[in-house]
Amino acid sequence: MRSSQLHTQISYGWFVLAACFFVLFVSMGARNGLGVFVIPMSEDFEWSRGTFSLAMAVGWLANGVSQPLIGRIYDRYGARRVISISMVIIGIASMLLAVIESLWQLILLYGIVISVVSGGASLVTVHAVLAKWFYRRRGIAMSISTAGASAGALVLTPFTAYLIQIVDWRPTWVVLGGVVLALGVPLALLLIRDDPSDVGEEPDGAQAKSGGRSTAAAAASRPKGPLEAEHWRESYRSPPMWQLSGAYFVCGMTTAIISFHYVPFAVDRGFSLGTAALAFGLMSGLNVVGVLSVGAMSDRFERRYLLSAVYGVRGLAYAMLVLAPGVFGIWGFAVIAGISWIASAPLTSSLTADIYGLRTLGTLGGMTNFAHQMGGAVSIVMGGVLYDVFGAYDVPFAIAGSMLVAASIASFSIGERRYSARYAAQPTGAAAGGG
Amino acid sequence: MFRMSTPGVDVRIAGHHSEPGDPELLAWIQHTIDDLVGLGPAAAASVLGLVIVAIPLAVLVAFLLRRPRRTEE
Repeated sequence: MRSSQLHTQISYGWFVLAACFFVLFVSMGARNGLGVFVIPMSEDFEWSRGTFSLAMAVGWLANGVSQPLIGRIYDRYGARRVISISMVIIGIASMLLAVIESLWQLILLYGIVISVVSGGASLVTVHAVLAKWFYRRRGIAMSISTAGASAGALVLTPFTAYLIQIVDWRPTWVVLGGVVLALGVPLALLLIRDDPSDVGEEPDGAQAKSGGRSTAAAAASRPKGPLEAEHWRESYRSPPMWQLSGAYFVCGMTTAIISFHYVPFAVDRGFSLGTAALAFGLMSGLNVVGVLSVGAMSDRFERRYLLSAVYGVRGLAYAMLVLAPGVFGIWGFAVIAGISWIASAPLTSSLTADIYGLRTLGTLGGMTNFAHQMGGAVSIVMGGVLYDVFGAYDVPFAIAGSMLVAASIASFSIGERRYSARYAAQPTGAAAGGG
Repeated sequence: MFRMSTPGVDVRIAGHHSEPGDPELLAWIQHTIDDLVGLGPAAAASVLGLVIVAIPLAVLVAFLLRRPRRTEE
């Protein structure tokens, strides 16, 4: 095969995707790994787990509240700058965690700095830039990048745990920060480009029809989202934004309540901590399978059907958890819910991009993620309060499961054929796309 | 006072969108991996470290292999 033929088969977008995969791999993987620091740091400082969880709770809220702002900064300055600078700050803050001596420093560095800035190297910014690079393969591209976050957790978490065993927790923070700075930042700077026109391409790898166009001119020539607006606030005047945000609120509810209360629920039902943990671990491992499968299908079928199915399947898993007896309910939930766990993220992002275009996609992605995190916060409190009232998790889980029916209906009723750019027009690049 | 967790296991957060993992769960998974694989911490950390470094290196090699082809055209 001639080398020039080889070249045309690999579009630059795949390198952007590879860089985004690794950005999420290290940034979200490193953030996820905080759990393994809880025991050694708590022992060193004589903090209770509750005290430690304060930093996590602050981080949860700070991350959710800051997402729209970070998204707005992305819309203004582009992915390359926002992602790279965010990674630099995450790396430095991680290294500084090695020298902390008090709780307020942990809250400041992890709860505020890392949690806020990680929004700049998150699904919001990564999905927004991939939406520019991929049109026909938007679903699978976003799904692959999302799988990077899961893979990062699977690799970086045990890596962190082993390092702590070898060199203690302080040097481990330095190594984690070093991984972000030495590997993540250079790759992001080298490969991520804000727009295909920066390298003379169109979305999906098609060659630009005329060279030398500015990014703005190239972007202006592409089809807009049918509901694309000058200002992000205008997007909330149309139903799909409410349907997507509302469903994502339920997504946050139904994942966070399980993250906090699944293991205690299983232990309450008489299972050992090991069995409960294994079931939860299986659920986490199935994330990757689910998100990649759904991503591949979403480029062939209407995304709303898949999003509706994801919430519906998760609702089925909740029904199984509450109604099915013993071991069947615990393991059935783990398998079924695992497949749907993060598959909602790329579907929500790609539908938002298809309908509202790319102009304010960072801010809109931040707003939907804000809804997601708030749903999570509500459900965590709800789970605890209702447990205390009823003495069991059946009621809060039944409420969360019922909400999934509403989320499934809301997703199903999105007017995708009416509002999505996939059905409204063919883009210049996509028609000839090589990929 | 609402219940956030079981006694003795107070941090119950695990990752959907990068939330920190449950420390007890993570410790249990690590012990299980140790039992199954039989590697010491240093060997396991080295293998995982290699995986972490290999990903960006592989991407970089693929990118560099692509560049000459571009100029050839």
